[in-house]
Amino acid sequence: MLSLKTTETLRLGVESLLLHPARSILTMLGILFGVCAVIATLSVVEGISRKMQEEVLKMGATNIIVQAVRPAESQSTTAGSGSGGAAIMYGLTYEDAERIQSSVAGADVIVPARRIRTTARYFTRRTRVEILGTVPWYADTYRIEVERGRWLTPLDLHKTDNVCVLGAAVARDLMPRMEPVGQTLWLGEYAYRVVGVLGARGMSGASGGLGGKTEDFDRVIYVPLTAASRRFGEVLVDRAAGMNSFEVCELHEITVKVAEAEQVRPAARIITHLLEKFHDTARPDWAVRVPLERLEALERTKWLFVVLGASIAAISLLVGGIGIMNIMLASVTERTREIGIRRAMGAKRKDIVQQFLVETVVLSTLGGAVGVPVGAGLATLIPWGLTKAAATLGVGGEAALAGLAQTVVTPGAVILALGTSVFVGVASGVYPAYRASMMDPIRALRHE
Amino acid sequence: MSLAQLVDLRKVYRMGADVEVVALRSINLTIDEGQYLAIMGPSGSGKSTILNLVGCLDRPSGGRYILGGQDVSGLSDGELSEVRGRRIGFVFQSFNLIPQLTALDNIEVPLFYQRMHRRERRRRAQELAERVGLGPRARHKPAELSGGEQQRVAIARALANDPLIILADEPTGNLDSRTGQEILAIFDDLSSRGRTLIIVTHDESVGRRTHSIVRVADGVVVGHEKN
Repeated sequence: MLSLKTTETLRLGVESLLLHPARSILTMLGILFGVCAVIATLSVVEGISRKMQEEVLKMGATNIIVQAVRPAESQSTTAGSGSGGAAIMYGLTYEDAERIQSSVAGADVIVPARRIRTTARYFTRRTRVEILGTVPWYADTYRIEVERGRWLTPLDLHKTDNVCVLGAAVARDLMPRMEPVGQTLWLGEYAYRVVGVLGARGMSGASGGLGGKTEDFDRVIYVPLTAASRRFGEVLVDRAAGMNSFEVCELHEITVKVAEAEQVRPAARIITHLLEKFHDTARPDWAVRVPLERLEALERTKWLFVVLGASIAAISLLVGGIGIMNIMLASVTERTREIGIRRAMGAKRKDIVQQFLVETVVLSTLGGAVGVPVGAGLATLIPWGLTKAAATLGVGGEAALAGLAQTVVTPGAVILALGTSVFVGVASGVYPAYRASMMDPIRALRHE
Repeated sequence: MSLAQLVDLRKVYRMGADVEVVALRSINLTIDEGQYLAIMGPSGSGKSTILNLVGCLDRPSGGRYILGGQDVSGLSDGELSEVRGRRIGFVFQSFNLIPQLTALDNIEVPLFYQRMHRRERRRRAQELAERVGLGPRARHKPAELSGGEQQRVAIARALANDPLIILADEPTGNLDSRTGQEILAIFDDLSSRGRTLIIVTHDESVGRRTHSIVRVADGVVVGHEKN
């Protein structure tokens, strides 16, 4: 009985809204824009946040990354390589790795790595790459997936073999349209046999932070750590500067993987203490990066944006609600006579309240229902527009913008937006509907 | 048998803090089933107030009003709405149809608030439109109907819930005399079928068609004539 009446009241409301289509649509626009703003902001924020989370997870949520940092000042400890320029000695050592291994309880995997920037050559093709000398278990720590061939093995490490695994972009650049596995390429003056190729992983925007150094996983060639140390030595020559400068660095990176997320913080503290003890604290040549902390920071940043977006949307919805209320108040006055007639014909106050409330709720819900797809469409246009603008202005930071490329409309956002629009409909309709219901039927009937 | 009884009914309007306007001093009136009654009196005499009270649109300041065996003088707003919807049929001078609804939809309005099913409502509205001689005009909106046709719609609407009393407030006031006669003929017909009708008017010719005339002046009944 109630549902029958509800549908009838609904029909009545829709019919009366259809009497003034232009007015109804204009009234609806306020809510439409509000909901649009809610959906657009939330989906852009969600998109960025998911992208960044992905990036952080690529680095491993249970990883602690210790990196060698080249000290800012050049006149550091000079080592005995002395052929002209000053040699800088810095960075992590094998001893550091061993100390961490023995001191950090629950440290599952210690992955030392060396990074060397050089040019890879395959017949006439050349490309800039980063050689990462590492250990076989690097693959588990960084969740590396081999697409073709195989990954580095303990035997490779033990035999100091000249074998390598290529990042997707390197394989594409050097050996397009052919099977790279089994080919031999040149790294500097050494020949390396390709044993495997990785799947594409993309850029890591989060690893360097927004606007910071980005890491391209696809432009890396992985070789056994032993081979990297022996063939390339610990002395690196940087010819880019005006004069030759040398740097001595045993390990560029040590990744510590712990079993549980709760162990990350204590382990990071121990590692920091350890390094402070054995390295020059005045000029630190190392840094500890904890992806988990970034993840948490990200979550906080996300909420900041959500709150910001919500405030904008709230203002828009407030204005929309005031618009609805305004129109409804006018409509109530305009239909005073009708209210009087209905009351005389047996309509109770709550019937009148219902009648007007239904109209505002229908208006706002419809506004919301249209606003959701429009907002979702807008959300996909925003990153597109931003990338365009960045391209025409020549602004860099593509990696940061790449995070914008995907927008995610979550069911939660849709429910929130629709719920809010229904709420605005009720909130803005209550007062006009109450006013209508409180009219004296006798006066209402005589209203001109 | 008395259908409605007004016992020492009073109505005082409060205008501002301490200004009171006495609309009805003391009204005693008994309306029998099947009665065809005219209430007459000069403007300001209180005849409209009587109509509002009898129609349960307003509550008396004092006295008692018994309608169909029920004392309705102390009912709440919601209960009065219920009584209006079930037991009273209104016909107004200015027709008071809802402009955006068709004639049939207008006839359905009282049925809607009695929670009658849509199909049943439509059937009843069509039947009533036939009875008041609306015919094919029933699907038009009030603006497309003549005054006489509009008043026929209003009468059909008043009959919709099969009320105890039909109250008509100057039903011919906005009509030319010929159309007025047609409308009054419908009232005569309804009365002859046993309906209880009360017509408020200051037109003597209208009053003379009824069974009896109650004359009101200064908020009291000053005369009761049988025709």
